Amino acid sequence: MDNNLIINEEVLWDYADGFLTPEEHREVDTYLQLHPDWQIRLEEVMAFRAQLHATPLEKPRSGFTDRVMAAWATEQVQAYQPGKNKDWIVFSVAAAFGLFILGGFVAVLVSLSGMSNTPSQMELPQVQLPMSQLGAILQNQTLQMAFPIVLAVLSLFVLDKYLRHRRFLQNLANGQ
Amino acid sequence: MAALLSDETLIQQALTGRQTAYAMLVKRYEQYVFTLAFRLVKSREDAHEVAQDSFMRAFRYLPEFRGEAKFTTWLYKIVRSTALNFLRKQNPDIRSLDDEARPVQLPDLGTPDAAHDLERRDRNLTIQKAIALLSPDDANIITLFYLYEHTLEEICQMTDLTMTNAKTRLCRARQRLKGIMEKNMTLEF
Repeated sequence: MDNNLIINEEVLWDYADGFLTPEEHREVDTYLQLHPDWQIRLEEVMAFRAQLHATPLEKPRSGFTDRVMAAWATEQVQAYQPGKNKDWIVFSVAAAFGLFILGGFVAVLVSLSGMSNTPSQMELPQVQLPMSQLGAILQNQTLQMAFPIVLAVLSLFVLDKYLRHRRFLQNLANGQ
Repeated sequence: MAALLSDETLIQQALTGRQTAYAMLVKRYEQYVFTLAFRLVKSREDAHEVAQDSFMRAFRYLPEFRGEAKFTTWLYKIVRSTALNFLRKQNPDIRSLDDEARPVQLPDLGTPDAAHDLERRDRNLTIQKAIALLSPDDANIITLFYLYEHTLEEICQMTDLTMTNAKTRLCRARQRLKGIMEKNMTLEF
């Protein structure tokens, strides 16, 4: 052999698998031309390799995709459903928000009705408090009209989010 | 039309919550995942469980898929890890899928029935049977390289092997496969 590469079966496999450098590939080509018996062995390797390529893949049972999707949907639904132990957080936040709104209304009503009609029993120094400015702001008619509108928009937004979430869960349950 | 969508497109659609995209990914890779799972756990029933769990884990971690490697490379790692966890649950002593930890167990094929059965089977089935007798790691590297035509570089990414080690393992797996096939052929006569 007039080259440095020692030919054996592993080299033939490397040749077939494309692991040889171009130079090594040429050396094997030259060697095979001179040794037909090795050419036959290469053909055997190539035939075995082709059989490996042609080996069919394992197939799961029919309906495998459906089963995976059903399991995925179930997991998604469970993940998105608020857990019982987390309900109190939602209710607490909602209650705090409600109390805040209610408190605001009460404050406005008190400042509008009670304060101005209370007869003064004593002569007190007139101090200009920032609260009186706030009262003036709250008496602004535009603001009084805008407040319920903002509340209504906010409520619709929350309702829309809830309905979208519910529809998403229904789609998941239906496997869509 | 769905077949034309790339993996990346399907993944993007899945991440926006589109369930059909998830289903298409499962359909596209069910044989890939199932075959790998079967090679690892050696039982069709267990392979169904591992394959399903692998898809579930893949979906859970899909937002973390960066697309730096091929989807199949990423998926293979999940299947392998899922299979290993599954096997550990069954046998806590299992630490790896390497052949040293799980030596090749050749069943007794010397009975006339078994030999006759092999005789009737075609060449493909013979190869499949021989692959099933390899260790999980050997079976997988043969499957990845020759059946799925992954490059050696991709296999290195999947298995965290060096190029030299992957090549050595492939060579060793092939020799074992050939050995098993020759032994089976001998038993036929």
